[in-house]
Amino acid sequence: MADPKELPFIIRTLDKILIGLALFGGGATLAFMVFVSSFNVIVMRKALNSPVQGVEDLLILSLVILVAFAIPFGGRSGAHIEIEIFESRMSPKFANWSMIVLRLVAGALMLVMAFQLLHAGQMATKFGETTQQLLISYEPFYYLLALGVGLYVLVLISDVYQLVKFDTVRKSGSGETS
Amino acid sequence: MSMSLLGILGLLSLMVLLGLRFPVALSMILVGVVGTIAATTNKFYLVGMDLDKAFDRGIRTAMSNLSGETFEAASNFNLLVIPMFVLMGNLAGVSGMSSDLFNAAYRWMGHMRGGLASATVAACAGFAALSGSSLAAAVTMGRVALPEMKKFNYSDSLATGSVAAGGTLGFLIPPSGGMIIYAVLTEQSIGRLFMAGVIPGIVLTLLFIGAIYQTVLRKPEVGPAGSKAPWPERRAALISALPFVFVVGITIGGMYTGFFTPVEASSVGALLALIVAIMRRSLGIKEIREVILQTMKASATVFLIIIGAFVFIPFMSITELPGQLVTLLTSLPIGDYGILLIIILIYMFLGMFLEGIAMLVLTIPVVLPIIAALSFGFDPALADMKMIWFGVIVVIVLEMGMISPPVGINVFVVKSIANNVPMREIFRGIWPFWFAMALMIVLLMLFPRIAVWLPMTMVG
Repeated sequence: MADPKELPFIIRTLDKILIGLALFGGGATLAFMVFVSSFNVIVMRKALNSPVQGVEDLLILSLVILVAFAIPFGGRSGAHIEIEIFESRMSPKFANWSMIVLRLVAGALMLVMAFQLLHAGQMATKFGETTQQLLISYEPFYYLLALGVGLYVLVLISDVYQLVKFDTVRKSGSGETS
Repeated sequence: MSMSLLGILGLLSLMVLLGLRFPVALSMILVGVVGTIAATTNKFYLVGMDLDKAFDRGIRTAMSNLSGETFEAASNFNLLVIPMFVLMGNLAGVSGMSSDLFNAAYRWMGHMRGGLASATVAACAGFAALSGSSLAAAVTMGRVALPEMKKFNYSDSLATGSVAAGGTLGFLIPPSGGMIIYAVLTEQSIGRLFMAGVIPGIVLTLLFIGAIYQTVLRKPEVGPAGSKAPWPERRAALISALPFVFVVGITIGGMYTGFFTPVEASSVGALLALIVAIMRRSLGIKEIREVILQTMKASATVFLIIIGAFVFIPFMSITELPGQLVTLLTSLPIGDYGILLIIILIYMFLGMFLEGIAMLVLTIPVVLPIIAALSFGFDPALADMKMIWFGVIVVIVLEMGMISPPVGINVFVVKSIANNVPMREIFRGIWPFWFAMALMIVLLMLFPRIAVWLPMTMVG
């Protein structure tokens, strides 16, 4: 079984970055969403009958930020659903190698997605992709989502490394293995 | 190659990838991208375009879908309810509202035969109104209720079965994660779907309690009566559960009366749960860290799978496979309800192997056009209500899958809390609840108003 101390520095650093992004970035985004949305509805809309223009835009952009931070962290903490129907019928060696191959395929797929998001981001301003009220360009948010997906690629690569070296993947923050 | 054949090959590839333990979301994205390339190329080639140009068009369509649908899912305003309700549930968990709920139900019902199991189911239903997750409900209530039931010599099967089944109520009672995903995939109102889950959720809770009563009637030794709590204790337990009533009343009541939209209700609910947690001094650094990371993890699960569905659905549409299935099924001389029965049986079968949310996103693109083509006696003006009614039925069938052998996910969750109870004992305990769910589906088929009355009367 893999000991965290045996993991290379780069994977431990990646774990710290992902947890930091999820904890501080995600935490701040969640707090922003809760307080801004509640304040707008309770105080501004219901009490003062004067809703703040553009709050919906800010909430949508916050959601993109949250998703960008959540996807790579989810990949590292075992959040993405897998179906384990046939695994018990596979030989351990086949199961391990199939997971390695599939993670490489997944990595390539996510790399294509990250690249396409970058490409779409470059086109966003040109095609007038903005929020509806405040007209904030989606460009940087495409880039952020591309970054999140790119980090997920690194997670998949680190999974492959662990599967090759230890036959198992140690999940971040929980100490579980799969 | 025919488009339908491409669609079938796509579905088979999806099954192979899932069988090899490829993450559900990534399987859908991969099949969606490759399938869109193949189907678009095929489509343009069949109308006489050069293969090179047709392939180029296929690549461009697939790549455009990949980035466009991903951003569309991540920036969908309605999906804001997911992190907000998950946050509310996690805050409710750490604030102790869940144990208050069990305590209140326990004080009032614990002295009856099977009362502790009934209290567990009632508390699960209450917790379901705070958290849209069946797993969270099973874990939270299991930790509180299982040791109590062990203390009073409840049989392992009844104790674990009631926790596993009670937990599934989180998938039906609003704010339900299953309903949110169904609403997004079918473009129905989240608020109306939430409301549609209220009465069936209450009826199903009562059916579960009825199933427990029936079990202890046959075998009194499996659920002996606990001690009777004195009235002051009962009153105190009810008072301590008031914050729960407050949070749920404002969020669910606010949506029903049109005071809040679902998104507003979710953020206000999270704020209220935060206030309760702060007032009870239950939010330390460790708890805050846990709440945030759990919320991010749950959000990751749901969003990546929705992105997968958003990329996969256009591929299914291009192949026109769902349309072909509609033609095939509607030509069968078995009537609307016969077709519905076939769909339910397929869901029950798939539920034995697939996780609920995964099954929902995998099947809805194919099943939805079939349901849309049938009337089930609904007035054409109430077509939306038909989809909402079907949504409730689907969610209950998915709940059945959560406790069905061999891979009922809630059973595994309960097993992780009750290590010493063999799996076969837990599975033995779920059957009365499984049949209660089947009865609930029959009731919904006979009396659709159980589901659609509340959404029809809600404001806004």
